[in-house]
Amino acid sequence: MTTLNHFADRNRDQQDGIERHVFGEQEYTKGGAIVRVRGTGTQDEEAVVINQGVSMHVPKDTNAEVYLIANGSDTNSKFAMLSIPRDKQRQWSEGNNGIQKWDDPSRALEFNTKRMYADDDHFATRGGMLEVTPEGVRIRGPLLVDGDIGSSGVFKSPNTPETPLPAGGSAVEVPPFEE
Amino acid sequence: MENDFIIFANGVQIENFTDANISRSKGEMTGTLNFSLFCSYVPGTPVMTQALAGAEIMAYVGGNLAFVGKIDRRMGTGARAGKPGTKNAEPSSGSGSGDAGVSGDVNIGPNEYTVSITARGQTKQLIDSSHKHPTGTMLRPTTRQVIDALVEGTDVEVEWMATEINLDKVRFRDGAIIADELHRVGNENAYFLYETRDGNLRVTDDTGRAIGDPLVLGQNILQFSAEIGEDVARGEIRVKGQRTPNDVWGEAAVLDTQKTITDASSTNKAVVTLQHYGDGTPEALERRAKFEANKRMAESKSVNIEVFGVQANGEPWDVGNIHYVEIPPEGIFDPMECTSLSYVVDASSTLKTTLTLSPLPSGGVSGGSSGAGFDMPGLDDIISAGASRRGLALSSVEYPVSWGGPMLSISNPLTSAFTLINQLDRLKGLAKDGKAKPPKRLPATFGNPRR
Repeated sequence: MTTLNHFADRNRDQQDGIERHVFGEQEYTKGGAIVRVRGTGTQDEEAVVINQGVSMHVPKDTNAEVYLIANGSDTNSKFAMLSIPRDKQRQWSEGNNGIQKWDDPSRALEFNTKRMYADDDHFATRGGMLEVTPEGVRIRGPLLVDGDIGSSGVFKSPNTPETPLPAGGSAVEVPPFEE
Repeated sequence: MENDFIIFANGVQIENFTDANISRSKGEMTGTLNFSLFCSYVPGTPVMTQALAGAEIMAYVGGNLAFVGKIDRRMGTGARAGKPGTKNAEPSSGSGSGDAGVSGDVNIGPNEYTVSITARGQTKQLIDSSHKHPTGTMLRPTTRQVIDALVEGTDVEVEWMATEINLDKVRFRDGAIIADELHRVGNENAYFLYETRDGNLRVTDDTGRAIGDPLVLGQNILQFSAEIGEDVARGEIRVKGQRTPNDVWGEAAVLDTQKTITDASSTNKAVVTLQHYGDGTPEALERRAKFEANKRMAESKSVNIEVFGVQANGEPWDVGNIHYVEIPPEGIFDPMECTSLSYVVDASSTLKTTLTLSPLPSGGVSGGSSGAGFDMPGLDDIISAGASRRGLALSSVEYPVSWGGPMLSISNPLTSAFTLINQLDRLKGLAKDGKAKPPKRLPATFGNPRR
């Protein structure tokens, strides 16, 4: 062991393969997302984010680990795999999977054994056509129903039942959707 | 007796061998023994019949056990008289190839005959064998448990002389040979691993912690050569790592996990940066940096000394022993560690014993202090006595320069103590029950059959 080059394991004394860093900053270019990462005495820049359709953009200098993958033995070309902070991971029940908010494990789109479950009390489609809030459900457009409509409460309308539409009534006030 | 070189194969003394050599070093996991028998005729029946591949072999020098191992290869070669010498077997290497080659091969030549035997030490099993760990992962082990697990299933005993360190986890590479995995653990935790003269695997983060005869020019140094260089040493060593415990992640695991030490004794101000494997605690990084500095300094300053077969008191020379070395023309008046030992006996029965000595490792780092060797009783007295006998101040611009170990300091010294457990075990050895050990001292009833 006094020799300095005794066993093949010495070749580990160089950076190569997969490296572990923490997040620095992300930027979108015409060539896709690139990140800068921080390490001990190192700062890799312009690592191309591997994007398989599920992606994120966490705030600058977030404490989240990023794994850099060298292009073979070429350390000049590196790709990045982003991860969320370890202490923010959602604890999925066995048999379930889904997508979570990067810093909030309580908000997720979950695929469980019974249904696709949006674990959030706020949900909306583009433009607020359909919006779910703790106050209720808004539909900002025509509602076309092929079947019956029922209600466990009182059916409310600006028109009295004795006064058929459109005469006599006023429009229901629907608040605008906020992004 | 002091120059006797006696070899046993499978418990039977080998007689009339022509020449032999043994070498062991701190840098090689196992030692080697080569010997041969030359006949000026072609014998009608096999000779040295005990010496067959796989036979257990022991050698005594000056009555002291010097080597325990097994025969790797036996080669018989015939040649015509007057032709260039008969063919020798390939010598074994301490780093060891795993190939057994052709064992027991005998070719009878026309009218001269030579049998050449090559053997490696008991720890050759560690070089030849893959590890047998059932899962490849050990969680929260100590270094000693890891080394015991790797050695388990072989005949090798571990002589533990190191500080036991708690680890987060260790993963072995599937199919890797034991020696490679041992070296990984050794490198990561600053352990030297080498074979003792009785075939055990010594694990130490220190010297052999034994002080031998002073080696003084004009008294017991038959020949010497001393080389000092700056090409291997480094003035600054940086070790970078990462934390591996599950609850240490992100910035705490990746940022600022490095240690930098400087060696004031090195004139080479080059920087070396190392990547540390395993859990990169501040203690582990500092330990690794110190280990690297000590190894580089040992490579930079080496003294080869030919000595008599045994020490003055009859005790054997040994790797790991500390000797005061005094060679005035080189300015050497320092304690040094024996890092390599070889015995060579030739056809004229002349025994040549050569030691390689290197500076003692530096035990102190934190706090910016330097210290030669660990806190061994009597060492300070040897150092001060040597300085007194040198009688002249060392200069950095004029020879002689210091032959001592590295002078280490660290920019961000540790505030916590190293993880130490079982400190008393530093001086204990493990024994595997029921295994007969060869005597370390050969009874005087054995004479030298070669005379």
